[in-house]
Amino acid sequence: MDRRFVLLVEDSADDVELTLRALSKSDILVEVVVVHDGVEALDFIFGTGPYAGRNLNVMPTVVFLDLKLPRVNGFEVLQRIRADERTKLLPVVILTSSNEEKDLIRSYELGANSYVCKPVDFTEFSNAIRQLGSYWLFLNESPMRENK
Amino acid sequence: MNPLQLFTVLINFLAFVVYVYLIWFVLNLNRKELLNRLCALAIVPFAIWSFAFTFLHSATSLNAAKLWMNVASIGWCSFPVGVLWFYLDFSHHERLLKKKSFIAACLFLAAFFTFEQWNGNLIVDLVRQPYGWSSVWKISPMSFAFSMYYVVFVVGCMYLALDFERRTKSVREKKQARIFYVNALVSLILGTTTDVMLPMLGIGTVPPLADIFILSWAGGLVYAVKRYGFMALTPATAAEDILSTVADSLMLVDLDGKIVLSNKSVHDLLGYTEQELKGKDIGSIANGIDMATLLESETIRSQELNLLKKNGEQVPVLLSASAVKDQEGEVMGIVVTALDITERKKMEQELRASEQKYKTLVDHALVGIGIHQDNRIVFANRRMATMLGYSPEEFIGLQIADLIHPAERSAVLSRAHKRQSGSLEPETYEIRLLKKDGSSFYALISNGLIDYNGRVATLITISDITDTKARKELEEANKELEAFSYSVSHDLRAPLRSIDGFSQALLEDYADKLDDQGREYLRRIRAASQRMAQLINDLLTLSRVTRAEIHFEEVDLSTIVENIAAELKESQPNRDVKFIIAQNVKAYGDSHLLRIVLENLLSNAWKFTSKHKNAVIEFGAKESDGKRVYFVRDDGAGFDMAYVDKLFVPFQRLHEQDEFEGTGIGLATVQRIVHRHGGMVWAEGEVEKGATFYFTLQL
Repeated sequence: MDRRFVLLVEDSADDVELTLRALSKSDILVEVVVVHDGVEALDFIFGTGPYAGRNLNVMPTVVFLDLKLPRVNGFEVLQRIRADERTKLLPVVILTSSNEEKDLIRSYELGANSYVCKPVDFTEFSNAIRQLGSYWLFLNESPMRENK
Repeated sequence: MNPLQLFTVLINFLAFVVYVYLIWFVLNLNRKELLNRLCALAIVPFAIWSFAFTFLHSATSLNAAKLWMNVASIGWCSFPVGVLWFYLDFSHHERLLKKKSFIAACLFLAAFFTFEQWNGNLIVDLVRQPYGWSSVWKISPMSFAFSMYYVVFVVGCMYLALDFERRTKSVREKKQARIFYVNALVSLILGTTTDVMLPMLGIGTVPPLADIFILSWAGGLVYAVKRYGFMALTPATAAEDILSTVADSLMLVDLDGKIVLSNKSVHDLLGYTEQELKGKDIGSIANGIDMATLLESETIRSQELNLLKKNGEQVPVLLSASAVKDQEGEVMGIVVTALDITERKKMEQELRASEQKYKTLVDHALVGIGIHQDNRIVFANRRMATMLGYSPEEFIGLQIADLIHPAERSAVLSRAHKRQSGSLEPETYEIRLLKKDGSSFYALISNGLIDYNGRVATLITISDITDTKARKELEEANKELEAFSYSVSHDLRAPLRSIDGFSQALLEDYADKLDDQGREYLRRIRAASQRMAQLINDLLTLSRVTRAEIHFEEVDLSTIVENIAAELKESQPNRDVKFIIAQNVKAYGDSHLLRIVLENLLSNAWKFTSKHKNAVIEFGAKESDGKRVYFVRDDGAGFDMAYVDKLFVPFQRLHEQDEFEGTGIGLATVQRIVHRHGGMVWAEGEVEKGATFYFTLQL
């Protein structure tokens, strides 16, 4: 059986907590791997640094990527993911506070699969997370699986 | 016959011969001219008179003498008539001569007095004298009447001549008139003395020589007629007339280069008299002109040079010279004409100075100056060409469309077209121009219509405002604003989400540990954070509206309004609101920004009618003072006009938050968008009667 999990790249502990709460509230039982900045995200994905030796055949079903991150920001992470043969088809959903048009356009230009602006209202936020989770984890057929 | 008598006889006969010659001569000059004929006619009585006197003075018997005196009377009774007719014609009173009654009256008088003489009522007797015969006048009313006839006619002639001299403008005619009255006066005074005065006083020793003295008169008439030959226009008289009357300065120069003749204009121009100029070398008054060049070219046309005045000043003239040739084609002299061009020179100089001034202005202007006609550049200064990256040569003839950034091209061109067809369009505005290398820059352009080569064209001045201080500051401010907004967008929302999220978490997970008041507080925290989130959103929209580039296109406002109305109805389907939307209301502007305007106005209308059971919201456009005014009207809560100024100020609200929720930024955003379109926005309202928001998009 495939291991399905979400890689959540989020520096704000509050947002991590709220995202996890929203996921659990929406009855989506899925493993979430949390990394707190861009460098850690890349280390995890490509099995470097602290994650050296990680089985690279196991990739997240979807990456929830924040844009404003310490050290390496979300755009660079996305760029690196798309530049690598192994991960260029990995589903990446931008999950951010910004609704700036230029962020949205840049994300899609760099190959994001979705762009979601996190609503302030927690009820709406929960809805968004639930929909994202059910879509990317269960409805979407990821091309990544065929790679195996 | 004694020698004295012989002299008298001979002199009278000689006079007769001269009169006959004069008659022949004047008729020969021009037989068809009335004046020549009248001149001849006037001399005929003198001829008869002197012919009769030849025989009178040689008569031996009193009877013979009386007979010849009677013959002579045909002449001396009729000459006043002949002379008067001549003077009448000469002084342009020929209309009198056409009256038959006048002619008949004249002839009657002449015939009457001749008849009276033959009847012996004028000269009653003749007395033998050494020279011949002297007359004895009868002192009677008849001889007095004859004197009156004679005096009236002769004085009439004098008057005509004097009056004509005074009236005429022609120098030639003045001279002629002078000859006429001077000669007449001299011969009449002398003739009257010898033939009438002395005999009447009984002095018979002086022979009657009136017919002889009158020779000078008749001779004068003929001389004047010949000399000034005005009966027919001859080249010579015309030339003299022209010479004296033309405004051009005329000089006749002989082959040695000496001035022979000069007219009044020359004297007025140069300050010399005719005498001073006569014999002067032409080269001494005309710089650079000598006889050799004049003769060589024979004709000089309109050469500009300076003439030297008597007082040493120079006067600019247009000089022409042409050779005068005799019948064999030999050059006899040169006619030099000079036209005073002082005024013209002055004007030329002023014009040149003014042109120079404008040329310098255009050449050195720090702004680009050009003219376009039929959508092509027809004139441009160097600055204009270099601003756009072209050489001045390749710039002329360019399509103006190629110089405008594609985003603004259609708007600018349609505006230019409208302006040239007479519509009032803004003269000065910002424009993005396209350089030859494809890059673009912001410029301020000013347009004015001018006439260029007889057709309407647009004069444009362009200044590059990329580097202007204001623009730099604006760009700087925009950058800061952008950074600020970006950070707000990211960072200000995150804590709000935490506040809201964890409040919700508390409500969900710890509801049993809180009492009602605790739960109420948490709900308030959530409401506040959500309102703040809305505030942030609105602020971001406002700042985006300020920064956003405007893409002009035709926008169908009616369709946008319909879409927004549908969304509003969907958001609260149970409300009873009627939308009246005018169809096909179009505008020129940025569709995205205009949608924000309409969204704000319509959602305001929607919001402020929410307390009413049913409501009407109307959208439309009308013409006012030649401008298109769009409006959104509702019949909702309205507002007090006393606070109308505060409507468009950010964060200013006229209603309690609890009454109508809102951030107070919507109308400020509307105003900013409308301003960025060069338009105006204003509102009218009344409490509980509704509000109407108007806006224009002047672009």
